[in-house]
Amino acid sequence: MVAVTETADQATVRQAGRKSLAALAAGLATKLIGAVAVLIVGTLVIFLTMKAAPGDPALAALGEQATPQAVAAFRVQHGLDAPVYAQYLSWLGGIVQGDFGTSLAVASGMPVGDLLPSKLLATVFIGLYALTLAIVISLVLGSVAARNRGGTVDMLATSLAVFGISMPDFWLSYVLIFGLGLSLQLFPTYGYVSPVVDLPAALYAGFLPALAIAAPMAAVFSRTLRAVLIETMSRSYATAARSFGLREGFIFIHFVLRNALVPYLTVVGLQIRYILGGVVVVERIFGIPGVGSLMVDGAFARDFPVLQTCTVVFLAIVLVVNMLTDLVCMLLDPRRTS
Amino acid sequence: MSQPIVSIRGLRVAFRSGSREVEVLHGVDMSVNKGEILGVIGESGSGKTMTGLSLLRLLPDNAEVKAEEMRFDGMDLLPLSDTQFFDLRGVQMGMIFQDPVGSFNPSKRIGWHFEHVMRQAGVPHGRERTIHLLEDVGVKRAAETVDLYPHQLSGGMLQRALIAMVLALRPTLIVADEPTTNLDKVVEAQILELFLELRRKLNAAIIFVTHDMAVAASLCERIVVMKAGDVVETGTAREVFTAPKHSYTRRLVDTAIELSSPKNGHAHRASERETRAAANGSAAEPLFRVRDLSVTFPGSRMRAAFTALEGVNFEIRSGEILGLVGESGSGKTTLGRTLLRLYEPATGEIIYRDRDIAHLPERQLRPLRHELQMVFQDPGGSFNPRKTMGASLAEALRVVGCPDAQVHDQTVALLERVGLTATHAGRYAHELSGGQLQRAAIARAIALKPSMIVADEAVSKLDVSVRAGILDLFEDIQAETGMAMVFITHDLDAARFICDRIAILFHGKLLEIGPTEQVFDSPTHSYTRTLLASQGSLAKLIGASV
Amino acid sequence: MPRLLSGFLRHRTGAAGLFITLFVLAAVFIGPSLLPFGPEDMDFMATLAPPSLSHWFGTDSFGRDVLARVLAGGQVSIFISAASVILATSVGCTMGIVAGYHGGWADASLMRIVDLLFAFPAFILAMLLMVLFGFSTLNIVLALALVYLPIFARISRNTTMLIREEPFVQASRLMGRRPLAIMFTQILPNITAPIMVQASVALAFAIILEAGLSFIGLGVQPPTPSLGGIMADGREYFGRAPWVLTLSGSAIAFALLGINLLGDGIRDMTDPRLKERI
Repeated sequence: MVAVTETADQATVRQAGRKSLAALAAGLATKLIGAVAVLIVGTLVIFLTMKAAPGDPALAALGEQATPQAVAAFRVQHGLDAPVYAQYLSWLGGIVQGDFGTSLAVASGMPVGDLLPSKLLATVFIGLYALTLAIVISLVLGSVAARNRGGTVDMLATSLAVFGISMPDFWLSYVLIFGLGLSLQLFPTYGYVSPVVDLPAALYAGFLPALAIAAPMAAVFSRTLRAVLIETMSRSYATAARSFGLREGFIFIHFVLRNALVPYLTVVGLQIRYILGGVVVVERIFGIPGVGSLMVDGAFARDFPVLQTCTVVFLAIVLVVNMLTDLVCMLLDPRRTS
Repeated sequence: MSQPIVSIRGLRVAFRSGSREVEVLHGVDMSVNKGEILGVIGESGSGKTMTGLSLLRLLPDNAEVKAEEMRFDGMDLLPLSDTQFFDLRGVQMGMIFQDPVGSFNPSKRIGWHFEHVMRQAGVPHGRERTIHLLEDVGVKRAAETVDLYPHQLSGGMLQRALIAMVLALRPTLIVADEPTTNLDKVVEAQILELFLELRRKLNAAIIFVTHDMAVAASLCERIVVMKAGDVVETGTAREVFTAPKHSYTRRLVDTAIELSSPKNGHAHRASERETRAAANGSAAEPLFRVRDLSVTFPGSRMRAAFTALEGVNFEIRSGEILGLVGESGSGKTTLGRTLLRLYEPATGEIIYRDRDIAHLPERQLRPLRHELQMVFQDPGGSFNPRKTMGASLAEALRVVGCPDAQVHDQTVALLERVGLTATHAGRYAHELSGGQLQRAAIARAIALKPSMIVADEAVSKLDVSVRAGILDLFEDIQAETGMAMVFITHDLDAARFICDRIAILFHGKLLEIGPTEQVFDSPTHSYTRTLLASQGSLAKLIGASV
Repeated sequence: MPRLLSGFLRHRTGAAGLFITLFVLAAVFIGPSLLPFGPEDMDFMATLAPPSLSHWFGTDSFGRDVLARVLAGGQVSIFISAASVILATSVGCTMGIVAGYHGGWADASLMRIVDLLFAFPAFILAMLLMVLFGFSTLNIVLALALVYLPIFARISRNTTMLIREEPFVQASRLMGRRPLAIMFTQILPNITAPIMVQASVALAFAIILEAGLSFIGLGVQPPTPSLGGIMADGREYFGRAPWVLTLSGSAIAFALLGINLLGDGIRDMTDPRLKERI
């Protein structure tokens, strides 16, 4: 008899599990379709913006003194004589096959696609490194501040956070270079080690740039977390849990922090727009050969294929991060899956 | 005389906010005997909830609690450290809150709550035990419920689950803070039944905090009446309800009885109206004719499409007060809003003065709009927080073409008509009480000279002592202007008090409609009978207990 | 308004923010006329001079007074940021209120545009527009406005959707008032608080963003003084004259601190839930 009810219960559990998994997959699929749609429209907007820009890429590449014949030849060679929609479609088709066009100036004649993998690795590595630092710092600062609300610790943590968002990241980079790098000789101030080659060395070399990107982020995150924690602390489920004799530590982790995670991660996801800006500048300061450095080089050289490609890559990074945070939030919030 | 399990003397609670300190309890005395249900009644702001929370040390950090004496089961509570208090809470003192949905961790399953609470208290736990406990409090399909998340259950189910959790810990004292206020009447009756069972099983003392006199009368042995942070009267339920000593208690009881007794004024009012209707010619065209009305809310990715109303037919005569009565989810509010075309129906006709307005576009509705007004449930939200009452009334007056020179005089006249004064014109919403706001809302509605007002639960958020005043005002205004009125409510007493006819709604269908006395005295539908039975009106209860 | 101000003065951090902001504005707009040096005045006798009584922030490699340059750069920077935030707020809020009030296809189409803009990283979008359309001040303003527009659109849309269901808005609708009148008299006054908080945050970020663009050389172009440009110069001779970069950066950080504290103050003052708790 007992065994029978057991299996019946397990069946219900399994059924509920399957249902939520199905809901999750469906939610993910719609997000994916939406992201691809945004990516395609985004490429179109980028392409049209490039086209609308004043200046002739042929003249830019060949110089103002180029002969009309040379210009015409350049246009044919790069497909610039085709109608705009055909140019867009061939460019988009190329992207799908991994062909991002040929660099005009930064790495003249090289396919942009060949430049990408190592640069993308550097950017993703430094970005993730910074994100991890920011999340760790903010979890500590935000929780400590919220639990000691109104106290000295809270005031210190809150002030630190306000200072954090008030410092330009590129300036902070130099403060860090000067302080931790040059004065104390603790960390290298320039250069980059690929995480694939030597992970510990990469973490060591990347510490200062990651910290420079992470500091303003950590400030924003911990302010958010503090506010959300204070909000969840005042919820009646926290009081109810207390009335049942559950301990403060348990309540903080399982009731307060647990329910603060979704709004916190939502803000983290939204910040990716700004984080990538920090990545571009900091990559340049610390000499990290990432997509950001590539894009700045492309910008100075007016290397349109490089610029175009980097913009698409950054767009894709934002969309992927948004999808990931959405996925995590869906997993964390039963109201969105069941 | 049994021994008290709780005795409180001189309890003071103050809240610090910046440098200011506001005292909300000014020396409360209270004692509860073992196995007794003590009702703590009072209106909002009387401090009844604070008393319960401070007993369990559940007040927020900025609250300062002082007392001459606070004893629980012979133990002095005042010197206990927070850590020592942890062992009391849950195990010996339990609490049940007003909002069952908010009492559960939304990220965790029901079973998780039981598991951790029972493990912490050191009582037998496990899945089977949880299922058993849930079954005990009448949760059907308990084995499935254990694996559900709070948002998948109704408020009534969650309140049962919460009671089951308290039951598991077997405390000797339970503080219940308005545990049935957010529930429908039918469910409320079942939960109250459960409380009696809880007491029987555990022989626990219960402090039952409520604003509902009828609930207190049906459940409690002794009553404490609180007002503005003070206890004004203590006594047995019978004493307090039949021979109240304090003038405040007397007013509370009188109002509740007046509201719940149909004979007070209603009969002669009805006959008065009949004569008037006869004079007008009762064969006159109805103001509204609703035919086969259905309202559907479109689904989205998050939820399925929802049919709120289905095949509703009825008429509204000019000059009548029609009650739309039902529980939450019955579609009564949707119906009211659809009449005003705040919603567009899926199918059916709404014929207002010989014109079908069911699918009239907004642009063509606009000139008609001021004829059909609404008074909302939430008095606080009824006015733009950034505007004074005068500005809001002036907005309404200008819509019906009141010349600028007269706006001020008209505003004052309106305010005085609804029992306010000219000084209220300069006030903002947060500076007025709920009752005053509702009066101002009525003033705004009549400023537009409507042919009908829909009042959506217009008194349900007000304290009992001001309810009667607002209901009287509605009645006077209606009689004076001769407009029609649709009175939406879940409160049968209020409906009976004011309505000429009543329509009963259930799950989006109109079950029956008829003259008030007829619906109350000889309901044709079985659901109506259940609904009527769940309503313990104070007059009836006192009549029964005396 | 006086009530808000007196509340502000009681709110410690808010008051500090207000004073810092006023001080910075006074320094930037009145200060240059009090200084003996203009931002372009060179003194080849005192190149890379350390901070002193005559040159509070020292001098750069051309012997120009760093403080004078920071103040001049600050003027440009404040003008650009303020203009872009005002532009982004007015256009974004109009979009958001219309989308939020009407819902349906208006909402869907406007918000798709916003979603698309939101997918572009702020700095990259600004950088791309600068490179393509040139480094004029107007272009910087437009680029920054485009970066912040989606935030304002989204916030005003979400708050509008909440307020739209409030009884007082419904009451206005039941009076037969036009949607435009409802949006401006009922909804707009009630969403200004979150918009103002966001505007102060955006203003601070816009200053950083503008400085960052100028820092890598893709923003305000010399000879127009800019905060980013001064710091980029300071980086060149960081080893010999660390004060140029350090002090100009500290000046920005100080100004941003003021704006951020002011924003916190506005948030706490205008959010009644927070007001109760703090």
